[in-house]
Amino acid sequence: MANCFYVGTRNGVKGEILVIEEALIVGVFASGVRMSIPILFAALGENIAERSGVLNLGVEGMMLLGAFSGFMGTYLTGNIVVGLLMAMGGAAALAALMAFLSVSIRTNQLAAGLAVWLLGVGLAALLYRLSFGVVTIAPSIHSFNPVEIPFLSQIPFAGPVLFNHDPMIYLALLMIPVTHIFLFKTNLGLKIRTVGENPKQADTLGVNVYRIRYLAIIIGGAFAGLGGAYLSLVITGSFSENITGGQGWIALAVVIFGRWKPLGILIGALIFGMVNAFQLGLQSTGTTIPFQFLLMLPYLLPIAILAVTYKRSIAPAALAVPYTRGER
Amino acid sequence: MTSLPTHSILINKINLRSMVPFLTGGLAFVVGGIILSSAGVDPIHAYQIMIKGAFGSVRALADTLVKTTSLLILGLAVAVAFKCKIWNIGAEGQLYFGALGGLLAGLSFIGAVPILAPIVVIIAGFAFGSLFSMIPAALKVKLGVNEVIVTVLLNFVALLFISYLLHGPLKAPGFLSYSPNIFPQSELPILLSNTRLSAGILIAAGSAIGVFLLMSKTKIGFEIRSVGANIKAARYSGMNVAKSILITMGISGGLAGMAGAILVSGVQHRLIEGISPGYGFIAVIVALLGKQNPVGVTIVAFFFSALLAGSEVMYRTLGVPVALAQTLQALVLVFVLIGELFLRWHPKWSKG
Repeated sequence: MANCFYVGTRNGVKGEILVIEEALIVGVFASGVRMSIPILFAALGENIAERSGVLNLGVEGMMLLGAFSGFMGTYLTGNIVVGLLMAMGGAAALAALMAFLSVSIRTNQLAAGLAVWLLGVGLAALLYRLSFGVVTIAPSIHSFNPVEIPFLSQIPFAGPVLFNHDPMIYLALLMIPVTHIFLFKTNLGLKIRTVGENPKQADTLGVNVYRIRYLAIIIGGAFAGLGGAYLSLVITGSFSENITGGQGWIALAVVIFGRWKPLGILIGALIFGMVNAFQLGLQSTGTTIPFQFLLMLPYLLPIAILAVTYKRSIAPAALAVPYTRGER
Repeated sequence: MTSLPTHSILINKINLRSMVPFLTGGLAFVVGGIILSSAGVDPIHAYQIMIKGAFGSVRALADTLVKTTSLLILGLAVAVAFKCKIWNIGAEGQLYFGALGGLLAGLSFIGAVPILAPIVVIIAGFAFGSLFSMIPAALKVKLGVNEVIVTVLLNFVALLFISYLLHGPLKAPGFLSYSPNIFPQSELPILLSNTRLSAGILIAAGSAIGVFLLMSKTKIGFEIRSVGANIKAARYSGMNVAKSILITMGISGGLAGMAGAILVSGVQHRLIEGISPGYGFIAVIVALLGKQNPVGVTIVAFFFSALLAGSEVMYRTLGVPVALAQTLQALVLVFVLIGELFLRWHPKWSKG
C-alpha cells in the first residue's frame, strides 16, 4: 500500500520521499477520521430508529437538510452552536414527518423513507437557492478551530491522527458509548429494542409503541442533522446541493455492516472514511488512475461489504413492519 | 390482516374517494406557494407562468411532451420493479448506461444505416440498461442483499463511469466533455418541426401499452405480480422466484436504459454528463403516485413533466429555482400518502 504514495513524488532522494510519505500517511489517516464523522453520526442515529423497528431510508435527505439548516443558522447568527442546533432541528422536523407517515399512517416504510429523502433533497436545494440565488463563489462560514488534546496530541502518528481535531469529532466519538449505554443499559433503550423486536409484546407490557417509535425516529433525525452539519460547517465551510453525495445511503449500509451495534458502526464508518481519504490522497499525488475511478471507491466499497456481510446480519425482527394496535 | 399496502386501493372504484389524491396533492402547491411568497415571489403569478410555460404554446407543449417521454418510460421501469416488490432506485444509473449503449450503437457502422439505425440504438440502450441492472439483481438473488442501497449507490458509480468516458475515451475534440455526435441516420425522427418532440413519445406510449399487456396478459407478468404480492406463496406454488426477480430487473433496467438511448437519439444526439436532470429519481415518485399501473404512471408522468417544463420557464423569467419543481413533486407524494389515511380510515387508528 505504501507503494502508492511514491506515485507522483518526482524526487530521486530516498530520504525526502520517506518524509513526504509519512506526512502524507498521517494526513490521510487524520482526514480519514474526519471523513468518517458524518457517516458515524448518521448511522448511529439511524441505528436507534432501526432498533425501534423503523427503517428510515430518508437519511440522505435529512443529512442534506441538516447541512443546509446548519449552514444557514451559522451564516445568519455567526454562532456555530446555533447552527448545529438548527441542523438538528431541521433534520428532526423531517424525521417527524417520517414518523407521522410510517407510524401514524402506516405508509409502507420504504415509500415513506423515499418521500422524505426526495423532499429533503428538494427543500435543501430550493431554500439555498432562494436564500442566496445563483452565486459564483459559494458563501462560507468560519468553522471550528482544532482543539489539541494536551499530551495525547504529542504522541507520534496517533497524536495528529486522533487528538488534534475540531470538537465535533470528540462529540461524535463520545456518542458511541453514549448510544451504546442508551440502547443497552437504560430503560428507554430497552423499550426501543423491545418495540423493534416484538411490538405486540411491548404493547401488552404497557409500552406505547407509537410514542417510542416517534421518539427513536426523531432522535435518529437529529443525529443525521449533525452528520450533515459536519459536512457543511466543518469539512467544507459552505453548502452545496450535492454536499452529501450519497453518504446517507452509505450510512444505511454501515448500520447493516455494524450489525446494529454502535461499536460495529464505528468500524464501518472508519473504513469508509479511510478509503475516502485514501482515494483523495491518491488523487492529490497526481496518479495516472482516472479520478473518476478513485471517486467510485467509496460507493463500491459499501456494495462489496454488503455482499459479504448481508447474509450473516440479523436485523431487528420487526424492522420495516408497521404496527397497528389491536391487530393480530 | 396486517398493514395494507399503500398502493392497492383506488384502482377499481371511481367515486368521490378517487378525488382525495388530487385534493391532497393540490395542498403541495399551497405549501409551495407559501415558500414562494416568503421568498418575496407572488405565488399566483409564478404558478401562472408555470402553467403557461408548460402548455401556453405549441413549443411549450412539445417541451412538456419531450420530458414526458423520459418520465413515462422511467416511471414504467420503476413501476414494473415495484410490482415485484423490488425497490429499484437505480433508474438514473441504468438510464446513463442505456444512453451509453445507444451512443455506441449510433457511433458504430450500424448507426449510418437508415431506418434500421434508430431501432438498433434503442435496443442497445435497453440491453445496456438491462445488463447494468443485473448487478443488484444478482446480488439480491445470489446473496440476498437488499437492492435499495445497492441500486442507489450504483447510480453514483454509473455517473462517474460516464464522466470518465466523456473526459477520456469518448471525448469529442474540443474543450467540452461531450461525446461526438451520432450519425444523423441514428436520430429519431422529429414529429413536430421546430421542436424537439421526436418519435420517442410514440415509443413511450408503446411502452405503456406493452407493460400493461405484459403485466396483465402474460405468464411472466402473472409471475411478477405473484412474487410481488406474496413471495412465499409464489415459491410454494412452484414458481422460480429468482428467475422472476432477474426478469423483472432486466425489464426495469432495460426500460430505464431505453429512456437514456432516446435522450441520446431523440434529444441531444450525443452523450453529455447532465443528459438526465435526475429523471431517474423523479421516476420513483411517478411510480409510487401512479399506483404502479400504466395508466396512472402516464398521467403522473405527464403532469410532472409539465411541472418541470413550467418551472424551467419560471426560472428564466422570475429566477425561481428549478428545485421548486423537485420540492413540489416530493410534496405531492407526501400529501398523497397522507391522503391515503382518509381512504382507509378505520376507527382503530383514532384510538392509537
